[in-house]
Amino acid sequence: MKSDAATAPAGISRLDLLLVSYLKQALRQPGCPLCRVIRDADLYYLKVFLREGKDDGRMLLRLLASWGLCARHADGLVHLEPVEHGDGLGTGTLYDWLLDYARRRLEDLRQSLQARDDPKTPRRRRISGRHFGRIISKLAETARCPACEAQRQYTAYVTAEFARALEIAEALPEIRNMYLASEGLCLPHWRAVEQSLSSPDIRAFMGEKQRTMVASLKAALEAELACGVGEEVRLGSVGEAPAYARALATVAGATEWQRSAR
Amino acid sequence: MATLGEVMGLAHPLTLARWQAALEAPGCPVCRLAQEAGRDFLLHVLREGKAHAEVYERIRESGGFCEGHTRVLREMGLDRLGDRWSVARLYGWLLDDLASDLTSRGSCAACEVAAQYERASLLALRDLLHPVGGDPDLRKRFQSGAGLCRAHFGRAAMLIEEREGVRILIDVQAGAWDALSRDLKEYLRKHDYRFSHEPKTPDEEQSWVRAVGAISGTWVGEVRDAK
Repeated sequence: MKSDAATAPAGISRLDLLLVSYLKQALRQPGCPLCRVIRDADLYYLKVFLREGKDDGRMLLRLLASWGLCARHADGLVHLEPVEHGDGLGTGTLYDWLLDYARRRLEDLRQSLQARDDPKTPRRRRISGRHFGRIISKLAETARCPACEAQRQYTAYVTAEFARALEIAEALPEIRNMYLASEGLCLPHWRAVEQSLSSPDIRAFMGEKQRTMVASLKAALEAELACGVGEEVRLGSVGEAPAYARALATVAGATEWQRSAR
Repeated sequence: MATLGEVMGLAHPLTLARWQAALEAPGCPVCRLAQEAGRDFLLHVLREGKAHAEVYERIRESGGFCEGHTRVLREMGLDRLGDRWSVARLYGWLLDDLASDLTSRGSCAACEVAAQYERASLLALRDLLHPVGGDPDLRKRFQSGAGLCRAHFGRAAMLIEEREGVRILIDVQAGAWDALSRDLKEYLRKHDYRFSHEPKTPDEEQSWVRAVGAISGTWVGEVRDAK
């Protein structure tokens, strides 16, 4: 019996088919498909982190270097607790540990300051010195937020895989058709995917689709504002998002999940 | 007698008023001041500034605003951003210009303003805490407050060179973190089945959320009403 690699069309054996299925689902929905896949993955990361990820030994060391999660992801964690039927115990235990660590650094600072008050040493009105600065620098992060880092790595992976899926469309013709029928990519992802493409034909194909999308979005934006609709709307609402919201998401991308969308 | 801040022109009365308001609100006051500065920038740029060529050019160069500030724009809604056409026009221009030029972009203009204001707020704190020329009322409010978040405490401690100012900063921070740690440890202890019958105080109930803000920084979620 032939192996899958032998029977599969060129290139397909190396394509992440699970990701392709996520992309297909996202292409059927409004908005940039890559933003949706990345947003969903970010939310999933935080859920797993909340349930068990933060208790892993290596992760704890990582969290010590990054001083927990960044403000945005930490806020997400706080808001996910009740959704995940948590009571703050897990997050509280983690941050109690980090707070104790910060308090120890503060105590080091206090002792350093007291040592300068020693009558044997000349008292200066101004604080300076390498030792003092070294203690303060221990309160700064030496590594990125692990959730941000995971999102950065996954974004690069998803972008490259989407570009490859478009390029080997002989094996997956529906990807191109679904992309043509979709709302297209946001500008940051268009830029990123274009850099990953090697085929000039696919680049031209994508450019045409994207420019058509931008033109129709601009027309919709003007029409919508002339009609007086489209204010105070959120992405992810049921039905098609108003052109104003779509224009904002198209220019900036929408990879950060919203509390209301969890 | 003029305060040192007034002489130096840093602790402007408006800065003082903003600091006072920020100290009344929960969380790190510097996080709050910086995030509000980014939002105010968006508001003013979209109401008045974007018609200026150089302002638009700066926004275009950075590929519009970052995702976080774009979210703020969306949450503000069109009516708070001047006439409804102004945002549509801005995004119409951006769609045209950015779609025809996909080169990589610089940093978000609103993020840059927020970072500048963050530093200005820390410099103002340094002047306001100054034992000779500082503001005694604000110093008192700061001393009874919840301190700064970890990152802003570190930056403030690097900026303040005056011994007395550093001492106030460290004492306030130590007091705030000790109290928070006590509340949090009590909260965690009362999760144990042996002590779960003991009632939790409101401060204890909120302690794990406050601890997240103290270490990771305060994410000011709500969009303040436009003035």
